Amino acid sequence: MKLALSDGRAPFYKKEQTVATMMDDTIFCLLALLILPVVFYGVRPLITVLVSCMSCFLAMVAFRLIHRRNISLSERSLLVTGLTIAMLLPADIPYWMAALAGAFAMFAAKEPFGSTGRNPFNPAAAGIAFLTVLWPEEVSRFPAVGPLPLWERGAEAASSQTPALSLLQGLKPILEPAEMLWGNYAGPLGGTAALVIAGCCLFLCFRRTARWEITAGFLLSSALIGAFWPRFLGSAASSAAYELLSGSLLFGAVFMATDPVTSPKMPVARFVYGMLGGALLLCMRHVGQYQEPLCFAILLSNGAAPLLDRLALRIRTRGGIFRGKAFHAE
Amino acid sequence: MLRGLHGFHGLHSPYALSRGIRLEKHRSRSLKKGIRDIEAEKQKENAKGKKKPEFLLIPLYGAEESSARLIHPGDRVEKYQVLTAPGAGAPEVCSPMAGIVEDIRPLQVPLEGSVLCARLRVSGEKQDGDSPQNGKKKSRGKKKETSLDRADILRMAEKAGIRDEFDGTPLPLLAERFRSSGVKVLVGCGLDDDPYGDSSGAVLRECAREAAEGLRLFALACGAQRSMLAATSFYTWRRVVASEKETPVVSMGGRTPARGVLAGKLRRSVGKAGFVGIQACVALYRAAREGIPQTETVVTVSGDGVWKPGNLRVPVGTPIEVLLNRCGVLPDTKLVYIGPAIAGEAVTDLTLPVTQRTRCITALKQQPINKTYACIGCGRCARVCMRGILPWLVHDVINRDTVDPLMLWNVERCTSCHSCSAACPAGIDLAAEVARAAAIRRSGDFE
Repeated sequence: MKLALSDGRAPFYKKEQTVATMMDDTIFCLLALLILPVVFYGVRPLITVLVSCMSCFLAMVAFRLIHRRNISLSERSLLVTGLTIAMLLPADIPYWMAALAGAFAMFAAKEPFGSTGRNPFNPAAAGIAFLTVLWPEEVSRFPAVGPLPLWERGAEAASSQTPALSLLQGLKPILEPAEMLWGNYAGPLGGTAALVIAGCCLFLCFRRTARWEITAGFLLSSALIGAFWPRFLGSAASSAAYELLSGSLLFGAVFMATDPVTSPKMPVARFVYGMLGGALLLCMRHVGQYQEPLCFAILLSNGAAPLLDRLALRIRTRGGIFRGKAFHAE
Repeated sequence: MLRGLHGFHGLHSPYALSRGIRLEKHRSRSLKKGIRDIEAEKQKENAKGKKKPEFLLIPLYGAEESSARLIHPGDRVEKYQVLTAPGAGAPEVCSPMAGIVEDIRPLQVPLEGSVLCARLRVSGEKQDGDSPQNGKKKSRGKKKETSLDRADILRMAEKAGIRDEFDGTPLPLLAERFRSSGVKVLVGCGLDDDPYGDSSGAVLRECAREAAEGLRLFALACGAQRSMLAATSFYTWRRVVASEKETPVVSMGGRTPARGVLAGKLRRSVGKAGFVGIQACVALYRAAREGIPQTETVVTVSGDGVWKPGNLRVPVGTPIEVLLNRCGVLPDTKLVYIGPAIAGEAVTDLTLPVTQRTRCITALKQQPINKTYACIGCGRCARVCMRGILPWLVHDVINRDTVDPLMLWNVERCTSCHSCSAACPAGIDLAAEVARAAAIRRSGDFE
């Protein structure tokens, strides 16, 4: 039998895990996280997600047209960015704000550096930071749980129903930590359903899409600081539990800090990076005026990631290889 | 975790557990059926009168100079006749079958480069006049096994032309290398760390006893104090443990590169490990026991391009197409490659021969395409590397305008196992970059 054979080069197998499948894992988890908000608030969260993803896509297309680069329609990372931005915003955020955050993320934090794999800062965190600086009240005004109107903002939740706000005011939240597990209280769209986030965390770590060292470091340092320096009069354990469950800390620890592009590559450095992120977040919660300064904590620790990598490398090679030369991991 | 390693303490080091990568297996169930002997099948067919003309391309290693060849075109050779005289220390090549030498010319053999091959038209069971079993009786100068010493074993391996199936090294050379580097533990390597290959496992399952005996002889030859057998799958491990009670057997559970991972574990617990292929062990045992040279090899033919995958025992020099046809190659096969999926070599000329180094032939209906992305810094490459290289750092440094050689850390230790390339989700050929970095570091050209 005469066969028409091609002359290929190794490797001759289909990879199980590629960058695309890692993105798919994350997108799958973010979509799973969207189910409960849709049950609580109606279809509005879906539209917000759609708007932020579309704006990310359009910003990417516009940037690449301006700079005459190839446009790839199979780019999944912008979906991750769009979904993450929507998850960190209130469910009734005006659509234009979500669109603006998405556009800023792509235009200022991702595309100028050369797209996926080369951005030094988490684009979603940059987009949210942009909104938080410009419109702090709008970003931290969370609606009460219930169906939302499609266009106007919903009724604001009572401050007693917003644990992050109570903590900022130095009060113990009325909700018990056990009542906060399913996310049926006022808070950022995707940051409240702690159990779903924990499930996503297990899935992502099991698939090795996210690194457990970062999440562990993040949660450990947050819990420790929360336990030793409570923001209200209460036991250490309850303070730590409220700090972990309120705001979007869990979401940040699982979905944003673990972004492989912006986090260190050495395992030890990853753990320290996570600890640094958690410590920065808790310090900002103590000192700052913002209800949820997660995006700033993520951006600052992103900035420290190359430095941590360099330190870890220096320890691993026992100071052997760097001799004071500048090291650019990104 | 290593199964069945009693007496090898300290193998459960947590440091070693995270190294290596698991590749998804594509092994067909029919590979478990046992090794098909092509010659026996042919003899049955010949008895039915379906005889076809056939030829072998026997690689004549070490006979590039005409003075080292004992045959010339037109000569008639008998089964097990010595074809080369390459000089002291190098193994002789024996003819797997009787026939007439038609031609001697160099061929581009996959994985081995240019090799001088003799084209042998197979003919005449009648001159030979006997079955392989009778041929075995005509053994050359065999001693009783128990009284063999090191020199005897090496001479026997040389006479029998035995080569390690993993890298084609002649067995006497391998023994010398192990002896001089102080190998403490000798591993009979039945490891198939490939998604498709199963030939070593099949040999280990069927000939565990012979393999253990051959391994014992080889350990004697290279001065290793301990020996053990290594299998990939739990299935093989169970079969081997049931039939071989004296030699310890480990199961590596399908990690790639299995040899590297096991070597690391053994180095930390017992001492330096040396690896010898299981087919070479079996061949050494048969050479000692029956005096027959290594003229056969077991090859896995697998992939979605054949409808009857299997492990085939064939004479060395059989053309690849014979094996593919035996396994029912499908007409829409687009790619045939030899060797592991990670670093194999594609073949377009199917008349090329199978050598002792050929362990797996894979036929695929289409070449898998892996898209390439920018490095996302997931760190998997560093995690799977058993030599402590940081391929992501090499990738980062080597793609700059000026390369800082001090940052190409450990690159000279690379064993080209390609597990970093296999693990990289971005599809970057990291093994090639590490090799380039090692070359740069050696050359001293850092611009």
